[in-house]
Amino acid sequence: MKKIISTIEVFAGLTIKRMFVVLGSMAALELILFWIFGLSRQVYTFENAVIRSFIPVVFCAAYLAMYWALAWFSGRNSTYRYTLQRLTLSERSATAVQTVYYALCFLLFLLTQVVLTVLMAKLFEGGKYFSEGAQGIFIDMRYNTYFLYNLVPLWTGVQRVKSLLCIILAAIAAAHMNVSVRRGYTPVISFILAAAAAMLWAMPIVPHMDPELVIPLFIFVILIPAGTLYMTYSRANKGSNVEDIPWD
Amino acid sequence: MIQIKNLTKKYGSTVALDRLDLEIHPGEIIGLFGPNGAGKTTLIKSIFGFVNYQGSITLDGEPITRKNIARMSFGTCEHSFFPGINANDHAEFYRDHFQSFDERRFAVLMDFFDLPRNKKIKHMSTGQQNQFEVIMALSQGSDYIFLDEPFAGNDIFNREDFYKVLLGMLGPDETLLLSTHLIEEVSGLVSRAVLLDKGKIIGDKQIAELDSENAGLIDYIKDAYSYKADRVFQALEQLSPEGE
Repeated sequence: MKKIISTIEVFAGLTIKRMFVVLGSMAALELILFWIFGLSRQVYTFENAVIRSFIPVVFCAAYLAMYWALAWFSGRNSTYRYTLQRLTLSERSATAVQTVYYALCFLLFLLTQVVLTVLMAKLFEGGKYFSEGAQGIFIDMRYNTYFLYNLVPLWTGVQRVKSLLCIILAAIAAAHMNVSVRRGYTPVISFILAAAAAMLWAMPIVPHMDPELVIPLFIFVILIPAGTLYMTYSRANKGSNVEDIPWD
Repeated sequence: MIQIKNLTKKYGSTVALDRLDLEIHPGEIIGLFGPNGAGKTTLIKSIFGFVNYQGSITLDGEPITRKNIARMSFGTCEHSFFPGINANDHAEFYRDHFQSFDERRFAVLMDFFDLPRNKKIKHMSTGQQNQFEVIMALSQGSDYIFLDEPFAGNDIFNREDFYKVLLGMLGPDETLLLSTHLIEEVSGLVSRAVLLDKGKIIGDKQIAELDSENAGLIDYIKDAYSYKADRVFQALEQLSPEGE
């Protein structure tokens, strides 16, 4: 266990500052834009205030920045995979630990956006053009925009599964990118997977989506990540004659 | 003892190591010499399993697995540290992963090279990064230490002092394999010279044997590689106006 925690600490040490820069920038930019376009102009619904403040655009850009910040550290001037390869913890296991760490980071990213949205709703409620009432804000979040709806991950079971899936996809994409970069491959499938995670996030699964599409979509988003995961762990072990033993 | 038998490594059609046999005994300080492309780095990478190979490599009769790989440490001019974390965090990481991490040696060497402990390694100079790479390899607490061109970019004074510290520091059972081009500098340090050329061992001699023959390491190496002493003169002669 100590080795696993220690490995997470190393990955965190390499990325955490960059991650907080992304989260901080996202928060600052969203609040400034919301202040300018959402609160200072005649906007009567929270939904409009959010859209006119370009919050979904900032969120999307922050997602890409997050993906880059977590995964794109090639170890310039260092082939640190040599160290990962000669631990008693296998590089594959280290990569699995890394994937879990990335999932936690993307969860934090989503939670940050949820907190920001709640904060913006509170600010809007106290603003001079507020007229729709608390229930209006609730309806905006529940029904009117996919962006806001997706940020309320606790509505339905399917929505929760979808949010979890998005986090897992993003984490696998980031892990694949990092392994590819440190192994000298071009991480093409990682970009595809990162885009798939973003698209899945933006998609109206419930209640607006055709139910017949749900199953094929879920298969699609399970098959691609499974393939990517397989490729990631194959790459993580490539060029190694060192026999794997389980974690101790 | 590390025993290498019939080791062959090919990169496509290029043979990097050709049916190589070698034994590395506890307590030896081996200088691994050879021109660029001789296979020195590939040999070390094969021992660690960083590359696939044919043949067998064993440590005390056992194949090298995750059970015994911690008995070997590696310092390379390519660097293997985590650039985004500092020296103290590296020490903590090594402490967690290598039971025999030598805290005292780490502290002494950090002080010896006067390296900052709280600075990210990527923000150190190249010379300091090389020094740190060597420190981690020596502090891991391993029985077999492999250093691949570790002193590139370090000044002569640092290197000379370091050789002295190294000699005084290594325990009787600690084994060091040093791959370097700085033959003259390490001639007083190594106890055995292994010469590689085109993936084959073309020379393997104990320094004590050379001493008893009143032969120097440089001469032995020149002889093994059939060094042509007159090639400089010939080149200059061809370049002179009379040579045209």
